[in-house]
Amino acid sequence: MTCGRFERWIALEVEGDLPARKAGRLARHLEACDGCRELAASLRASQAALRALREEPVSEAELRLVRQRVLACVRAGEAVRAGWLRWAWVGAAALVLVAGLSLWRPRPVEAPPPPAVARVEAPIPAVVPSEPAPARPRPKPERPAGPLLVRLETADPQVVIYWIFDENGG
Amino acid sequence: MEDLTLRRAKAGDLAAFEEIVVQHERQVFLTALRLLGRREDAQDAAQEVFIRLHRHLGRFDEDREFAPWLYRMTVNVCRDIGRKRRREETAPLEEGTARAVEDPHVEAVAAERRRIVKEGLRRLPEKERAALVLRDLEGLTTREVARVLGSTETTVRSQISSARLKLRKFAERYFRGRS
Repeated sequence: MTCGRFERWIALEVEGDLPARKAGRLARHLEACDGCRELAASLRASQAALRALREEPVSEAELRLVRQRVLACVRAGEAVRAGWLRWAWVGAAALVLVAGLSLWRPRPVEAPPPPAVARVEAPIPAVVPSEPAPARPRPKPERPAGPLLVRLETADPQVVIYWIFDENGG
Repeated sequence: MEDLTLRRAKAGDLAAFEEIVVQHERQVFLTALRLLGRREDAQDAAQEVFIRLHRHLGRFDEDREFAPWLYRMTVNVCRDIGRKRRREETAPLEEGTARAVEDPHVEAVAAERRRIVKEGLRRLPEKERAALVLRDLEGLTTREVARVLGSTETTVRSQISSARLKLRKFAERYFRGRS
């Protein structure tokens, strides 16, 4: 194995990240390799300098400033959201109102029913005798109360026949 | 964090949400600072994390752990801000760092080391930086880091070993160059 591989192991070993099974092999290599021992010492020094960053001070004022900015943003966001919500409610109510108005139709006033008028078709006199059509049930026309006058016009305009029926059909 | 506070915040209680912010603001700010390297960017990131938290809190499943969820959100926000910043500029090392090396005072040298490490961190590939920050600075286990990053433990181990080697190389080259 080359020193290159051991370099990576050393970089793990200085902070206790090297698995135990590899740590034994590394220890044996370090006994025999001056360059790797130097590297290990150098790495310990740079790691100590790195760990010194843990002590870096942070002022309360710095943290308070961040906190104030965060809370201001959150409050502003909530105010905007609340404003939108209020307008959304107003908009929704307006929509419902418009929809309701557009669907509403005034109920039409019912006209009184037309007076009943009886119509009776006058039979056309047969000129050419023909076989009678099979009897077909026909609805019996309603007859108004009182006598019924039937006017029969013939081919001769001078001849008009009138029948008068009473309520009993006589 | 109390479940009750979380439930109240989910229900829209702003005071409960503020409690959550107070409990986690230091962690979020420091993680953002370590990932982005600049305080102004970290402030922007922390603000964005908590605004997103407020927006998505209703979706949070209470059966899950809150801290990894918040870490993941922080990493995602920092990734977005970091990409935006990289498009805008590539900041060189600050001039003050060179002067500090010549300062004999021990504290000044320590401060210089921190600045160099931060610059080295900033130059790491995004995923390696996230893995390293979560493992070495936030103190998460490899398994937790994998869960936060949506990755595997093997990948995380590979990322952190690579990142540590690069960081060491960057620091060594810088200090050797200054001496």
